[in-house]
Amino acid sequence: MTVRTLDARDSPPAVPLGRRDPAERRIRGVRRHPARQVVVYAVLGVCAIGFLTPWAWMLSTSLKSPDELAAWPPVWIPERLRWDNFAEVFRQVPFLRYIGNTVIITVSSVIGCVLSNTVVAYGFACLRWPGRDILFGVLIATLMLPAFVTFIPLYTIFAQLGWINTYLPLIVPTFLGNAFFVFLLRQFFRRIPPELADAARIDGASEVRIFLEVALPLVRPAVVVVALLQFIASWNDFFGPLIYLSDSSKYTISLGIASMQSTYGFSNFSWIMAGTTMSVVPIVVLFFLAQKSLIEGVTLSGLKG
Amino acid sequence: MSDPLSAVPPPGWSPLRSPLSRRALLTGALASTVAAAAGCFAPNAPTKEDVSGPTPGARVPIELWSGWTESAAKQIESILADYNRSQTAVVAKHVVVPGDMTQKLLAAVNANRAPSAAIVFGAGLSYQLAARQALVAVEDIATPAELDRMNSWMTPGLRELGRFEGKTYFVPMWSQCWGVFVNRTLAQKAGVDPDSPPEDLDALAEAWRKMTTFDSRGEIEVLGGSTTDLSVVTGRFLGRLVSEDGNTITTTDPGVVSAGRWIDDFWSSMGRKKMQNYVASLQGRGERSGNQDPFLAGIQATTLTGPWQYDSILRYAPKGFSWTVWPFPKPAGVTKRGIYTYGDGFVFPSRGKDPGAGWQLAQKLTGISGDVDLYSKLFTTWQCVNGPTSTQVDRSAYFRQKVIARCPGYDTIFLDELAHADYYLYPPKIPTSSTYTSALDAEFEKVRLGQVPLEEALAKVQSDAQTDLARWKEQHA
Repeated sequence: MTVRTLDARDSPPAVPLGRRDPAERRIRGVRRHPARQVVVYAVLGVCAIGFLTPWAWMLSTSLKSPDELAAWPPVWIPERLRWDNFAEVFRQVPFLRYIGNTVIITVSSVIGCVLSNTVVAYGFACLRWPGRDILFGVLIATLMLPAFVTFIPLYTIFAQLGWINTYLPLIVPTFLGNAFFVFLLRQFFRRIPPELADAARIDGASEVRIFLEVALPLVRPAVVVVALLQFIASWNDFFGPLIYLSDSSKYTISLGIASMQSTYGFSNFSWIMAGTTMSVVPIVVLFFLAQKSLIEGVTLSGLKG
Repeated sequence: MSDPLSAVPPPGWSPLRSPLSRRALLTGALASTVAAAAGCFAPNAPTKEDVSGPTPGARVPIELWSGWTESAAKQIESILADYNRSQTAVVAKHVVVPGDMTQKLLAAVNANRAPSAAIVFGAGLSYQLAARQALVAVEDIATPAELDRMNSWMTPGLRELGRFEGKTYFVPMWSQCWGVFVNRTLAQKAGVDPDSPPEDLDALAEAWRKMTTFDSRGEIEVLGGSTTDLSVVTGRFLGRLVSEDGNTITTTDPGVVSAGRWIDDFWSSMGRKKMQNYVASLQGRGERSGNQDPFLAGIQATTLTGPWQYDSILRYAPKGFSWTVWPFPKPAGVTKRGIYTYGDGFVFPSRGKDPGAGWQLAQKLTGISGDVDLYSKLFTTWQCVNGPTSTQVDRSAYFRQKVIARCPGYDTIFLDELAHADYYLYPPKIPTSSTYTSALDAEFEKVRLGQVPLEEALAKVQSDAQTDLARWKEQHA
């Protein structure tokens, strides 16, 4: 029996009676041929090695002594694991403070991003109001603007507000929406059947309640994707803190690692890689915690995070 | 994978039966806002001073931006601490800018938040900023007496380094000069007398060839020496990169062509592929790699570089490492001594807070103020890091004992040519200086790799750079 009806624009295409889903047939085809499976896994394995090699090199370098840094042929497993390189990072720069600063900026940015983008995307997707589509077009058009075009005017605005050398220029803009995230979330909100909202309205729910209790739970995978992408962007941001901050006690991890490089002297790349490894750990942990939701979100949106 | 349709509510469900109350909603929203506000506002709110200006009678805070990190930053900060103790009107703070100094300066100038002074690496950047009216000329902030003092302190060649379109926009703290450091053991092994420096560039190239050894596969095992720096060699050939008036790009100047040919001929004679393989085997290590520096590791017999190499040798050379320094020779038949130098030094952003105070700081840190002992201390940040801006610095006992005495050949080879060269080649004094030099480096690399003939590459760079310059002038007319 055919299950799906409703709005063809929002729903996946209906599958006729008695026929299997073509995608399902392809998957079953692969499973029937072990040779094909081996090839698929081999290709995936090679790609995985390609992606993991830089990570492995980063970790390996973080445990090397200076003599092993540029040894030829390259040393993958150091003769003696120098775990003290990680401790040295905290001696070279106030790394703990930089982590704290980065956490403050990142957490605040993620909260602002999720709050603002979900509300705006819901408005564009589920509410009808005059000029909605035109304004959405204008919003999408802003994606064409390179960031460097706007950074000087933005800096001027923040300077006039007295926000230079504070975290405000790095956090407040995330409370004002992001075109890409709005677009992403809007696509998810549009997949929600309007009948759910109608049912809630009939029961007397306000729009806020419909948004919070009906729509938002259904787009959880997309919200996780948005939160994770914002987390990564804020955590790794170098240019923003460099431009807006002048007090080294407010610097973030990325600036801290950059300041470990010497101009005329020796830059110990073991220490720099140790700092980088530590800075990457929270992102990796977060990814594994949110993996299921992230993959759901990426798959449903076609987004390559 | 979740399907929105699977969320079709069961019979009897109503959103109004959800436990979320209005109070809970408002509490949650308030908690989120407080959390965000704690991050936004707590220790980092704009200060009263930022908003309303300094309190009357309080010292005006000024900033000095620089890219110096680690020990150099500490050295500058200790000098600033001394300076602050003597000041009643200003208090100076050092801001470490670990990258993208140009972008930060341009943004700050546009927003009237520029520092009082900034230290930039290379005078070329100052020419570009000055062309964009992002800098204040020293002549506009210094008193006549201070200008006289600057002119009498600085070597004429280095004074000219900072001038652009008739005014001084860059005051060098120190400047680059060149010599050839030689591994005595490897030189002697190759039959080259380390105590007899080559008389000219051809003799140097010959010495490099003699000191190069090959392994069983025919690949380079120890490189005698090499250079890829076209500008450094062009200085020796008395070449010009732009015309005197800054209107014409002169990449095909005979001096530039000769310099390029000398480097390219050497690469060709050594085998381009072998040279590439050797460079690849270094895995990016160079003169700032501590004891992995190829010169200190014994896989390069000589290195043509600046006096900062002394610091590496003193800190990281293995026990028993025996070395000496040769002058970087002139080409055969060239009587004048030419040098390429670009400096690290001070600029004074326009619309900065009190560029006059920044100029006072700069005088301290360049020796112009007359405090030679304080200026000398900069040359132990990294031992003998570069060439001072004046020959008068050797009035300082500190400079003689702690700098010159620790670096054999520093005064006779490096400082002598920096102070007494007959011809100075600077970064191109044009608004598109960086683009021009980047394009030149990129094209010259293709020449060394044998991908394009030298004359063709230089002509292309000249044509492109001329077009860029014309376009820039048209847009900013």
